[in-house]
Amino acid sequence: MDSKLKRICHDLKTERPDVGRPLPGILRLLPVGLYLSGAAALGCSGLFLWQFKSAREARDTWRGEEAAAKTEQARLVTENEAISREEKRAEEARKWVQGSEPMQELLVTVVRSMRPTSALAELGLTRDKDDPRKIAFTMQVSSGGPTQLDDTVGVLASALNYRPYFAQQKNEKGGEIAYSATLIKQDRKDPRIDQASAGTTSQPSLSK
Amino acid sequence: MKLKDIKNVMNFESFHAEPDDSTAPWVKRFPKKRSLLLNVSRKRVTWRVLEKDGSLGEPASLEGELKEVIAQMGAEWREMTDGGWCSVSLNSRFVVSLEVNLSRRKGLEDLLRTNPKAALGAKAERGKRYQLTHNPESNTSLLLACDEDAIVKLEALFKEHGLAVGRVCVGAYAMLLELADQIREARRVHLAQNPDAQTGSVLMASLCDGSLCALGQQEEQWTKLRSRTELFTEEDLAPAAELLIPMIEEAGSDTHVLVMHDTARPGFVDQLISRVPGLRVSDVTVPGQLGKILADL
Repeated sequence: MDSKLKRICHDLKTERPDVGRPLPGILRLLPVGLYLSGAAALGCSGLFLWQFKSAREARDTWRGEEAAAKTEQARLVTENEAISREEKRAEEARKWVQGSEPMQELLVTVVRSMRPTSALAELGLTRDKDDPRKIAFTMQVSSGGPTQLDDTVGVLASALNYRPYFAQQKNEKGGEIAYSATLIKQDRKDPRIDQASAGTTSQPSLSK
Repeated sequence: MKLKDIKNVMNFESFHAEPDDSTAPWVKRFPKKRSLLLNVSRKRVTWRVLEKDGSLGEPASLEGELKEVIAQMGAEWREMTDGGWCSVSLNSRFVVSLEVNLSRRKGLEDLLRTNPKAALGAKAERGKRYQLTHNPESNTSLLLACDEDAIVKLEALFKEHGLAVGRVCVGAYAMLLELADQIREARRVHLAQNPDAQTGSVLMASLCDGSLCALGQQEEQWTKLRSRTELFTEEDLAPAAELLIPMIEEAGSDTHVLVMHDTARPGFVDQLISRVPGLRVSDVTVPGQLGKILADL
């Protein structure tokens, strides 16, 4: 007996003509490879699906954050605008305060020049838009009369060196006096300016 | 290529031997499947299940002709198997002969199955199926001839009852070949240790449910063969001993007798020794002997 067939019992049955021999074992790689490919494809699909879901969630999150950021930006812009407006107003206030600083000494000097018996009904100080040196001065004295007006104009000239030009004085009923003039500050140290000013401008009404 | 072929590749069936593939061992044809091993005598059928793990189940038997037994047990046998596959040993309608100087050309075994006349010439008879086993150490061969009609009827009967025949063999002949293999292996080992030694005379006897095959061997030569069916019963083993005694006497009193049974028969060796005092007799039967041969275990 052939040693190869030693363990195989003989067979007398009717042979089926189409009995096939087993395929070589190496060909098991084909189905194994196919199954592995399928498993890998499923795994990759699952991974990609998971990543797709993660990406969508991340996108939604970022969109939410973007919307929140835009809302915050709009709020900040609004706040910035409000602050800018406030700043503008403050700047205007600062400019007004700075601009009114030369007027303050005028105002204080006028108030201090008032005698206790005198009364000031109205006082106006308006700086010329084109020439800041010129101040339109209006004053209405309800009591105290011309004396008070002369004192006040004199103090402005002596203490602050303001000289009135184009002065107009009007006596009204009840002893009230309405006075208006253009005040221009004089430089005391340069007499040529005084002379020039005196030559080109009219004399204040109080000096008449 | 058919869809079935692709399916078989994908479920790895194509890499296993087909159930009908007689060139593959039984256990490789039915891996992890139950099958049935039957021994069919003229008036008795014995069987046992080959379990999924390759172990043999408990033996069972029923008196009666196969036709009657299968009608009674067919449904139960189908339940015992996965797919109804059976390996059947025939104990009748066969003849074993000792031939000398038969051709040993390649492909003769296949030709013997398809065209016995072309393989055996005048020795071939119509209506017979043959199996040939050569002695690799000499010019002798064993030739098994079995009635084709018996095989065809057996296959039809099994098919009729929803069973499939995966193998039809002659148990006594298969056991005799197993004995011859064991002797040849023992000789090889013995001669390897002592190349000049004489192995002497050996008488091999296989007993399978009433059938007996006996083969005498002198050194490497097969010298004499006798085979009988329905020779003995379990209750009366004397006819088997009667057949062997002349062969033992002819071979000489120093001959070594090896006996193999399909199932254990402890009294047979004693009978031989009582008839030939001083005879060297070895019973090489293992538990489930025939089942192991039928399942190539």
